[in-house]
Amino acid sequence: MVMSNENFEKEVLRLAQPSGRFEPVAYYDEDGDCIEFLISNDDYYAERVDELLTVYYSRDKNEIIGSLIKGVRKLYQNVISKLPGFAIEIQDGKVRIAHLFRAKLWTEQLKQTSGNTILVKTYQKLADCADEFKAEAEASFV
Amino acid sequence: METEGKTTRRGSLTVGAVDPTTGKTCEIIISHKKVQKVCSRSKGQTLDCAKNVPYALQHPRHIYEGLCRDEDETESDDAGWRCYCCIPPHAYNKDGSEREPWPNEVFLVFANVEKVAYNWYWHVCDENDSTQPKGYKTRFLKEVL
Repeated sequence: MVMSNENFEKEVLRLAQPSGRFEPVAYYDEDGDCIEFLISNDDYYAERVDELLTVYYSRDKNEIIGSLIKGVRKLYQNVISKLPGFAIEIQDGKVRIAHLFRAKLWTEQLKQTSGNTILVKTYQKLADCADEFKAEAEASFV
Repeated sequence: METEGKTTRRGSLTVGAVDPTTGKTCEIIISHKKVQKVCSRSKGQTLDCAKNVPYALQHPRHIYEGLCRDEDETESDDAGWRCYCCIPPHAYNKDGSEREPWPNEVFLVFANVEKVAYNWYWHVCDENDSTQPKGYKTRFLKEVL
């Protein structure tokens, strides 16, 4: 049965936990087959950069503060088919997010265009951020 | 359109949405886990979830279906997948204070084929049509509303 908007809002507010100190977070969402990665809880806006990646930019500084990687199962299958050794990067049921960003670059044949240069820099920036925070997500997509 | 209900289906909430194929209301599910993750970030994100997600699902300016993908993927991969797009009457700052909608942005809600809303955010609008997300012409298979 569909909840009324009033009850939906009440339930959301009830479920909302008091936010303490924000910690960078990455997690795999099975419903969307996507991994969301955030290094800040600043206000942000999103911009899709390719069929796989949407980047979150802070409104204050216009800096990258996170991303959404879509189609994770397909990405993993593609990477494994081209780089079988990538399977070893899944350890204790978790995958380092930086490895996913780099795997995407290593398995793509990007032509030398200005658009692709920006794309590569965006992936590299995200990989560096993920490395810095040692971000990893449950690899339940394997 | 709305009926009183309660928390349902293994720790999930439900909310009404426009079904573009019938014009009637359908049920969209949002997991407790997703709500808790989003709401732990800021009061602004909590209010986006509590107020703007239902608004987008019930008052969409556009609804898109399916993703444009690589040539080796079939359209059926995304059949039924939908993106609801709107400009809600309000946006929320990080501290939860209400404000005008963010300029040059639209609010998007994504629901999978099982009618589970799994993500939502403000996205840059198209430079020629401020009611649609940037890149909408090449991003989605079809616009169903």
